[in-house]
Amino acid sequence: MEKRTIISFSLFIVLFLAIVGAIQYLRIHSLHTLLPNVAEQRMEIDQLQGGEAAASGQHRLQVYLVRDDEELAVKAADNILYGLRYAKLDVTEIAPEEVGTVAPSPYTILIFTGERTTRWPFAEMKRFVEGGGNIIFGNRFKDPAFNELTGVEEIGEFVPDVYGLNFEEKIFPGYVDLNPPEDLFVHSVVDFAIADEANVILSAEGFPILWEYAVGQGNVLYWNTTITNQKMMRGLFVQTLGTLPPAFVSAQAAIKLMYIDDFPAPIMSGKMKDVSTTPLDKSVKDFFAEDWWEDMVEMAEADDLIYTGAMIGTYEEEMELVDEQLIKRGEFPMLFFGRKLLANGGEIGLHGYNHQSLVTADEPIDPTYGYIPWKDKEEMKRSLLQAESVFANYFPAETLKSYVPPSNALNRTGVDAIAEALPELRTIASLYTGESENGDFVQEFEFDETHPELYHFPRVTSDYGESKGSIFQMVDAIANFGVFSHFIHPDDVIDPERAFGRDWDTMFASLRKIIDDVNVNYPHLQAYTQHYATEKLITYQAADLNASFDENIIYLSGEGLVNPSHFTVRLKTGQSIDTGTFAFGTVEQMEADRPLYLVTLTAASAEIAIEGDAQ
Amino acid sequence: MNLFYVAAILFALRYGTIFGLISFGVLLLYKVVYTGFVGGDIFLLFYDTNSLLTLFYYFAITVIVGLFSTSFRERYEISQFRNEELKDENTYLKETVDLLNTSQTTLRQKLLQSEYSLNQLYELAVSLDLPHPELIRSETIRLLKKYFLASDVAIYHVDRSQKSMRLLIRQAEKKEFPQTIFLDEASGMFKRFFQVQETTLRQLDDDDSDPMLLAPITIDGQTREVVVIKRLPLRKLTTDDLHVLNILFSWIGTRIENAQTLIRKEQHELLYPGTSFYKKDAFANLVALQEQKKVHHGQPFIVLEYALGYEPVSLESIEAIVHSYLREIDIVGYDREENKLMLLLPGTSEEHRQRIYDRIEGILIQKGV
Repeated sequence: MEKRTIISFSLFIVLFLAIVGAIQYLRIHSLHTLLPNVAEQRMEIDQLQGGEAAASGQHRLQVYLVRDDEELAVKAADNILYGLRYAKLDVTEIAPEEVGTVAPSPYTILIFTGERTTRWPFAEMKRFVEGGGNIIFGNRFKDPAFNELTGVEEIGEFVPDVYGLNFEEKIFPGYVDLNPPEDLFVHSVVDFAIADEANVILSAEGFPILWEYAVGQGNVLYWNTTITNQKMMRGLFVQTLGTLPPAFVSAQAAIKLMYIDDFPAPIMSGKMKDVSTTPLDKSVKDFFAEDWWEDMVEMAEADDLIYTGAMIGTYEEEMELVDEQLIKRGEFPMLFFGRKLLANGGEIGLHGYNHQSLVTADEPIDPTYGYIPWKDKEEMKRSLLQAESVFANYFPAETLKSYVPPSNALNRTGVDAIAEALPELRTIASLYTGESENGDFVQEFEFDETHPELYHFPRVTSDYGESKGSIFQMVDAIANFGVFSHFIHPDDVIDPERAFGRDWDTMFASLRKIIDDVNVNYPHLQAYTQHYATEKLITYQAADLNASFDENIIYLSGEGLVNPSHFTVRLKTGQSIDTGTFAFGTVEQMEADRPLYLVTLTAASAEIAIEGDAQ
Repeated sequence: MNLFYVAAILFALRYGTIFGLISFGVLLLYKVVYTGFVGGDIFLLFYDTNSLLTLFYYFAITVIVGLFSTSFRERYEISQFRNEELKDENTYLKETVDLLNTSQTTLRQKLLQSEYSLNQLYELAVSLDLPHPELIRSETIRLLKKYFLASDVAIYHVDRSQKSMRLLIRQAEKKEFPQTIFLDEASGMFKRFFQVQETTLRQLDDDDSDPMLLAPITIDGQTREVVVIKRLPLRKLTTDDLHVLNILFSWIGTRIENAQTLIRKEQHELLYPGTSFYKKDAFANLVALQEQKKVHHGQPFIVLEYALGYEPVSLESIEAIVHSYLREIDIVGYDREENKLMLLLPGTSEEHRQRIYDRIEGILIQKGV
């Protein structure tokens, strides 16, 4: 090698090392201030315009709810009301005495919850059904007087603790059968003998749970269970309700939302093979940077997902770190994962200063968490502001718009602290289902009752698909009103217990299957960050849907409907509508035993012809 | 592998490290700009270890490939330089060999020439080994023409006062060589010649009419005769030729001196004792000889005869009187039987006969001869 080459090589090595050193120094200390992050994705929530003067049919779906003050009835009624309203179905609550005023019609449905049959006007109910109306009994009861309406021939004993749910027919795509010991649903049923004419739709452990029974011109749906007070069957209730009228339309918000909790957050030290069941000889940090994140990004790109992270400042229990220490700890997770999250179109929400739920000693929380209660709201606010300062340090142009309670535990003190400390924060995303008495912050999709600027957007499901119950809940929320909101914990993979002994590849494959199934069964769901999912859902809920029917035409229009708007349309067996692309949008068939369609509306109104005769 | 980086590596491979790094820099800039343009996070290009390592990886490959290319080119350039040096050296060696060959040829020619010169010298020596100065002069002119390609050649006799030269023999048109050259009136070349009295070549500032060469013929240590060559192809003559020519000139004097000595010995019988007066027969031979020169070289002569009125007391006294009025080349004979003095005047035209006769007669009368 010539001398001149050796000198050149040496110079380049020195230059190379100098560049490496300079970049290393800059990337750690100040480069991020010179190169701002990709701005958080802005998403437009369009609305369909001009639907006010659309044509309408003779018939509208009329749903009446009758309940009493008994607990089961109230809870079931409330639950059903939420479910129906999420699906943009108008419901009118009436007293039993008013039942007689309701004219029977194929498009009219009376829902009764509870068991106090003695208060129900049997004669009017019978006349209503026989006249062509529809009745749903939302809970099981024992009253032989109603047998001719319910199709019960023999009434047995109450049977508690009946587990699972089996589909005798496919009502909506994606639902899975639940069998013991799957305990999502634990029924209290009556051991009925029902008429042969009754068509059983759902069953559990051999007991008929839901059946339909024709009475005169009308139809009756009988829920032989107590689970109608539970959120995870709202979709099922809506979709089965849809089997009653000649044609049925329910709305879909069409939201797909994926959360990564504790992300970005400080990463534990150690090697993967030492702390997890994932046999990798690399550090946890490298695993998350190189394997976990790359898999997640690949899945997001392939399966149309946008992630919303929920950042944490530290995992220390006490609030002892000052801003700079907190900022220092957050350096890698915020710069690496945080910026990548934003660069991939995601959103960084707030999980907290640490992983201590914003709950005071006076408020309930699961003691097994071992959390140290916060002294008061002011301390909570200080912690929130410190966490926000970490966020602002790394993302000065962004604001925290979503909050996820650590361990999904939160109470009113915490909500107040959030609203006061972070006035720009828009969404609190906790749980859709849970144990409130254990401190779970269980939410509905609605504005906060105290702070009207705050919106509650609960997460429906979580984890890596290890539970069929979780899949059921996921499908049910989509069947209800088209919301998929799932969250995972990155650190499940480094906790063999939470990982159920699986390695990352197995966990990821399981998660991937969930997402793939969602994309296959519900291609209309659109990916959003939490903030824009909230905005869309608010717009969705505020819109007025006008769905009306003639004998062979469905009329769809509305005011303030999001663009595009999605609906499920259910017809009687033997009927159909043309699928394809039309001036108003598209029509696709969904996989179900009875005719079920997905209508996407990109125009303010639509008239959809029904073909065939009901069998 | 990103095609852009492949391009950078190819640049490095083709054009060396600097261009490779420049192209890498351009592509890095493009990547940064493109990342910004499509809404990507530029910071992550440098913060993400994988991304950074990828950049460094391509950077390192570019440098290594560039260095390899540069090194290879340098080696190529060095080889090329060495090749050119070898070519130059080869050319030099070829020239040297050519020169050696030329030298060898030249030396061979020199050797041959020197052998030739020796032969020539031998031939010259043999040719000039003649018993009479006139023959020697004639032979000299022949040799000059033959061996030295000279033309228009003449030999002059220089008088003892060295003020004039008289034509002895010539091989040219008459007009080329006057019978007498008076040195006071002669050109600068003649004057320069007589200053050094060595072989003299015509210089650039000499007249075109001047001869090409003047060479002395030294007899008894004095320049007694001069070889005048009007045309001599000096370019065709080698140094050896000139050297031989000089030897020839030297030899001529010696040869003439020897011939004169021999003649004197031979002529001892032909002369009257104590005089240079030829006896009648000998004088007649000289006239005959002069007659031949006139025929062959067109050189005129006249013979004057004076009848003496009395028997001379001493031929030596007559000789003392006559010789002071004659030229050195003039020959005197005495016919004892007819008591007649005969004068042979070479180089003298017939037209001057009467005037010279009268002048000599006057002197003889005046001196009482």
